[in-house]
Amino acid sequence: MSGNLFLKYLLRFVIVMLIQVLLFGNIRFMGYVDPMFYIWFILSLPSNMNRSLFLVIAFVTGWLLDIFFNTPGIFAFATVLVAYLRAPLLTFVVSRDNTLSAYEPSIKTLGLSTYLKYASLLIVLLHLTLFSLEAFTFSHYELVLFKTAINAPLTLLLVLSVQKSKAS
Amino acid sequence: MEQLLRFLTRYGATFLFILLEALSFIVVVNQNSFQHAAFLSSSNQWAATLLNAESGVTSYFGLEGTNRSLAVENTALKNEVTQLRGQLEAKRDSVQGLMQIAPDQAYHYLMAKVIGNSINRLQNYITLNRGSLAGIRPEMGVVNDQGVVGIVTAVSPHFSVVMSLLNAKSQLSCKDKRTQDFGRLVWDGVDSRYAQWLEVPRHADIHVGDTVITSGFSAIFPEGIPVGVVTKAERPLTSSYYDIDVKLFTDFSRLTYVNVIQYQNLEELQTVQEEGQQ
Repeated sequence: MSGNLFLKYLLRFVIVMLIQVLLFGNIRFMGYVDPMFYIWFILSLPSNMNRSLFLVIAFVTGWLLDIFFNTPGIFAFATVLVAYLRAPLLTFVVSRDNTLSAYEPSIKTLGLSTYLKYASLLIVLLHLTLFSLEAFTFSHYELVLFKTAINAPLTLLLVLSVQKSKAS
Repeated sequence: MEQLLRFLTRYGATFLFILLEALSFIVVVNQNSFQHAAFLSSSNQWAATLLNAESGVTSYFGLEGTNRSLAVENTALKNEVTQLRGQLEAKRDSVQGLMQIAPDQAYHYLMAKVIGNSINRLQNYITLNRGSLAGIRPEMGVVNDQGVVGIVTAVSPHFSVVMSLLNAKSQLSCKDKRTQDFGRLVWDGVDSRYAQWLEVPRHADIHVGDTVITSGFSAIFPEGIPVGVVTKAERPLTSSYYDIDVKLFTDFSRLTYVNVIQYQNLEELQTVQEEGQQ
């Protein structure tokens, strides 16, 4: 990764984390709305990145959020899981005639329908994991599904809108 | 050696994945033992500094509501002062300085500002801008002008983390102000305005509209701090306890200033309790 690219992703990381903690961490609407916009950072890292480095970045991202939200281990676990499953999912959804060897997964590089498949699967997985771990010792299954049903589409919408505004 | 290297480059990421997941999972499962670790919570110096800077901006948004509740509290306090002064005058007249009783100074209130708060998780925590240097210790009770807020769990020199009443792990001993029946107040994680009051025996006489207050059985909260109002009181046929919903007085979505309750004789009480259990 060249220095320029590194700076670009570092800057994106800082901005995304600030938005997640300061803006979305403060939503207290109805007590259910809790979008996980930060996952866009993980979803948008280059496809040819070293897998171990990628996992460590995901772990650090999750760990930092755990510190801010007082949820020891929960974000770290879910983020690392999403990061690990990203590579196999990418090879699965991206058509074989895609000639790009290294790319930043986005609507522009993958096309809307492929990107939707890619992002929505990982986002739903993220929310299910987060909310289930949170409810770990309690029987709140309907609440986990309900919160996932509300927040996963919201997160997806945020992830899509960030790119729309970038493309134009 | 070469084989080992080849093996690692092929499966290294998977090993790392399993390692990181195991580490996170251990932390999730042992949450209780990590709760008091200040560096793992938002009382961590860096995290709290950021939250503090943010609350400097966002606290302006709630000013009107905060002002209103301060004004209400002011009035209530003034009324109380007038009433107490009257009582004092009456006592002074009747006793004429023959007897002096030291006022009960067992509890002391410390003011703190809320710099981090959530209500949308199952385990909600609140971050305060005061810590051990201001005299805050774990296990201290936290209230605001409306009612009970929570209990301090982690403390760093300048910040502290409070387990909100809106936390599936929180438990509060409460009683009915009218009948003195007591039970355990918990939160089921569904609605941030309502908590559930458990273990109130079905022979008790609980009505909708009854006020619920703290019982004062532990040193964390003094007796009589308002908690909420009973909105549902049913006696299920299959249970020997009531099924009660309590609407909390505290509006957790708009917390700005809170009071941490310092119990002056906490150490003495804990020593006595430990000795008693041996």
